[in-house]
Amino acid sequence: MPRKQEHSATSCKVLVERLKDCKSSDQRVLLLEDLLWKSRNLPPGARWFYTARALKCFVDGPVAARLDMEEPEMMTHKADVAILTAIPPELIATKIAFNIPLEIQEDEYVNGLRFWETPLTDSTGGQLDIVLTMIGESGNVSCAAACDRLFNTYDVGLCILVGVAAGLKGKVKLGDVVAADIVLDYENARLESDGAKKRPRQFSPGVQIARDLEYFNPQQHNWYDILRQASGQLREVTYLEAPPNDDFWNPEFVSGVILSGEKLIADGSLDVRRKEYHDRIRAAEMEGRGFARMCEEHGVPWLVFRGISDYGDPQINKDWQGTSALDAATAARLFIERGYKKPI
Amino acid sequence: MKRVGIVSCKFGSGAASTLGESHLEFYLSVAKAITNEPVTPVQAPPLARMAITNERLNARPGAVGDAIAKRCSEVAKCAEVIVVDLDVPEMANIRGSAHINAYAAINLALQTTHKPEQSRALMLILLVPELPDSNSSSMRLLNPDLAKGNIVLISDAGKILPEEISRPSFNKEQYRLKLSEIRGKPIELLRHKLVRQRGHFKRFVNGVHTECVPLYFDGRLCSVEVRKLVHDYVLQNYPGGARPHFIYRPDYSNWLEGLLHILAGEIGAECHRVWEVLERPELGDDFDVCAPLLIVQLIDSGNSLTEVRNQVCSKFQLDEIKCLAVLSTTGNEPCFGSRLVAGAEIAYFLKVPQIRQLVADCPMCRLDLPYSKEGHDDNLMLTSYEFWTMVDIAGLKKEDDPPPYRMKLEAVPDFPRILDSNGAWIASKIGDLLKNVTGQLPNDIVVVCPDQKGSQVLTEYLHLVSGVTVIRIRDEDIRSAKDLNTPDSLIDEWERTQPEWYMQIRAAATQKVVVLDEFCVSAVKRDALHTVMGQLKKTVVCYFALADFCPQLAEKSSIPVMSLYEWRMYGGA
Repeated sequence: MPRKQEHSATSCKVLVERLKDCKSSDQRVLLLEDLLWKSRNLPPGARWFYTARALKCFVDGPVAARLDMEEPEMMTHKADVAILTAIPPELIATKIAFNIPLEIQEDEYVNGLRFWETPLTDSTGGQLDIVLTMIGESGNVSCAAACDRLFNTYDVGLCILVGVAAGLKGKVKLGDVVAADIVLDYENARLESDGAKKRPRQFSPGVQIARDLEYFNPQQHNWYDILRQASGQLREVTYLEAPPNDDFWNPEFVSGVILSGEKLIADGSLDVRRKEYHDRIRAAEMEGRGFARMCEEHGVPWLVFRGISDYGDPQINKDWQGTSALDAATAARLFIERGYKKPI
Repeated sequence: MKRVGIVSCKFGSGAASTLGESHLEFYLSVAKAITNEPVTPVQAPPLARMAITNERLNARPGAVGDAIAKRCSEVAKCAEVIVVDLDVPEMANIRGSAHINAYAAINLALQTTHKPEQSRALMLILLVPELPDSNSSSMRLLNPDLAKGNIVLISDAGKILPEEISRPSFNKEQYRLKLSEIRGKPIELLRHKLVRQRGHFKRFVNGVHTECVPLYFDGRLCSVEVRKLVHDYVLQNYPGGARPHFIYRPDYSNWLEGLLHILAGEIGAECHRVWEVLERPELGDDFDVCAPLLIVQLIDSGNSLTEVRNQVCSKFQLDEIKCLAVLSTTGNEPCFGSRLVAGAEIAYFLKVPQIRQLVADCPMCRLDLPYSKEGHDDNLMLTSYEFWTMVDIAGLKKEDDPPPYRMKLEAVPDFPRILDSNGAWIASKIGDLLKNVTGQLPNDIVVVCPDQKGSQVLTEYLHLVSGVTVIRIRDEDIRSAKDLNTPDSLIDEWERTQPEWYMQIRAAATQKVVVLDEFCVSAVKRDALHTVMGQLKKTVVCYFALADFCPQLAEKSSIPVMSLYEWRMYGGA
C-alpha cells in the first residue's frame, strides 16, 4: 500500500535545491511558501536548517555566510502510532491485522530491532503513519529498552503495546481483549525483617487517550467480521491455530487493570492478587510496566491492548496465543482508525 | 422493414448518459447486417444509456438484471429487433456473476416479451466485449435461444454466435472499425490514456545500473486500444488472412503480456514467451511460412530487442523477423513510425519522450531520492520533485477565472498545461486516492465540478482514464448557492429553468458524489458546492482539488478533503 505523502524532510531538501536554481521570482515565492508548509512537521533543528538554507537563496555576502549551518542529525522518521509486540505470534497477528505482508522486509533496522511501516486511513480520510516492531523476548526491562530505541528512531505520536496476557477466570474469557486503564506494577516492595512491605506502582494512560478509549467499542465497527476475515489468514500460518471454534468465538472488549511484573503467572493466583491489589484486575502480563514507564519518560501517550490467551493456571498452553493476539491487534487497529484523534 | 429498438447499458458508470446520431447509425447498421433486411428505428436520438455502477453490480446483481429486462420489455413493445449494447469499459469491475446476471436478464426479457401467442418473433442482438466460454453458465442460459436464432451475440472483435448461420451482410472487420470509431480512434486514445508515471527509475546496461530515467510508460489502461492497433498491424502486414506467432519477452512486458494473449485468442494466432519459442524447434516450419512477430511494449536503446531478435533468427535460421514496438523513445514520426535498430526496421505506434541520465549526472540521485517501482507509485500524493518538475515544464500563469469575493492570484502553476502532458497519470493518481478514501472504484462515483477551464480538462482526463461520470455546474449557480439564504427558492428556480447539470444530477444512479476542483484557495467554493449537493440530497464523500492552497482549513471540514499536492499560499485564504 502506498504512503499518502513523502517524508517532509525529503520535500524540504528538494524545495531548497529548487529554490537555489529557480530564476523566476514568482516561482521562488511559491517554492518558499511550500517549504514553510512542509517544514512545519520537522523537528526544530531540521526546520531551522532548511529555513536558513532557503534564506541563503535570497541574500548574499556576509549575511549568507552567517546562514551556513551544519546539517543536524535529523529525525526523519515520523510515526503517528507505534505498535509494540513482544513475541512472534503477536507480531504475526499484528501484521495480519494491519495488512503488512508477512514476508516483506523491514523498513528500518536498528541494533536488531526491525521496524515495519504502513499507512492507515482514519475516519476523516487523513493518513496515519504506523510503525510496528517486536521486542523479541518477554519482560519489562527488554520492553523498556526496545521502547527507548523506538523513540530514538521514530518521532511517535501514540504507542500501543499489543499482545496476549493471562486473564482472570470468571471476569474475562479466552479471546477477550482487555484495554488497560491502569497498568499495575505489583512486584515493587520493600523487604524488611518482618516481611515485605508492598509498594505497588500504577501507571495510567493520559487523560485524552483515556477519554478516547471510553468512547471506543470495536463491536460498533464490524469487529467480528474483520476478525473472521483476518483469522482466515492466520490459519494459513500453520503454527498459529485460530480460532478453536468459530461459533463460540465472539470476544468482548473491556477496560480494566492489568498487572505487570517479571513473573509468568501459572499457579492460578490471579484472583488472589485481585483481592490483594485491585478489584478491577482483569489480566496479567510481563511488559506493561516497562512500556508505560518508558513512554512517560519520552512524553509519548500510550495504551495496552491484551488478548486473553490463558487463565494463568497450571493448564496454561499456547493454543489461544495467535487468536488472542489477533483479537487485540484488530481492536488496536479499529481504535486507531475510529477512536483515536490525532493531535493537531 | 424491421423495426429496431436499442437498449444501451454502460457498466461501471455512475450516471445515465445519452448517445447521439452516430451510435444510432451504428446500431442500425449492425441490425441490418444481421437480419439482412432493411431496418427502421423505433427511437430517435438522443438515446438514453443506462448506467450500472460496480457497487450495484456487486451488491444487487439481480436488480441489475431486472432493470435490463425491464428496459428490453419496454422497447420490445414496438420493436422486432433489439440491439442490446453491454458496454464494459476497461476500468469496470465486471466479472463472472455479473455477466450471468446480464445474460439472465436477456433471457428473462425474451421470456416475457416473446409469448407463443404473439405472431411476430423478437430477435435480440447482444453486443458484448467478449463471447462467453462455451461451458459457462451464461452460455447454458443462452443456448436454447441461440439455437432458435432468437439471440445473436457479437464480440468487440467481431466474433459472432451462433457461428453456423451464414450472414453475408455482416463484415467482421467493418464492425470492429465502426465500433472503434464510435468509441474513439485507438491511437488517439492510446496517446491520451497512456500513463506517463513520473519517478526515479533505474536503467541497466548489461545488468549494471548506469543510468536513470524520470518516466515510466504504463499502458495498462489502454489494453483495448493496443489490442486493436496490433490487430490492425497484423491485418496490414500479414495479407491473405495469415496469423503470425506473437513472441514477447515477459520480463519487459508488464502490461503487454495479457493483452497479447487475449488478442491471439481472438484472431486465432499463437502467443509465446521468447524462452518457450527457443525450446520448440518444431515452430520453425510455421516460421518458414509466416514470419513471427516480435512485440515489445517500449523500445528505448534497442539492445534488449536486438538480443531477442538475434536469438530467434539464429535458432530458426531466419534472415529476418518482423518487430513491432507499441512505444518508442525515438523515431521518424509521432505515431505509426519506424526506426532502424542494428540494421533492422522496427515499427512502432507512438513516440514518447524520455530523458536518460548517467547516474553521476542524475539530479534525483544527487538529492538521494528513493528509486521508484514501475507501475506503482510509492506515494498517493505527488512528491515535491514530481510536482515542481511538472511546473518547471508547464510554467506559471495568472489565475483564469477568479471568483468575485477574492483577489486574482498573480501566479499559479499552469494546471491545464500540466494536465496536457501528464493527464492520464494525474487522473490515475486521483482515481487511486478516491479509491483509498471512498473505498469504491472511481467509476462508481459521480464527480461534480465547477464549469471552468482547469476543472474541465482535469475531469475529461478522469472520465477517459477512470470512466467517471462528470457533471459540471455553472459558476453562476455555485455563486447563487454561496449566498444561499432561501435554498427552496433556488431549487424551484433550477426546477423551472432545468439547467443541464441539474437534470444530470437528478438522474444520477448513485447518491454519492465527489466534488472536484482544479485548485482550492479559500474553501468558499468548496462549501458552496457542498451546500448545493446537500440541497439535492446527495452525499459528498470527498472534496478533491488537484492542488490545495489552504490545507490548514481541511481539518475544519466535515468531509474528507484530498489533494494531490498542498501548501499554504499566503496570498490565498
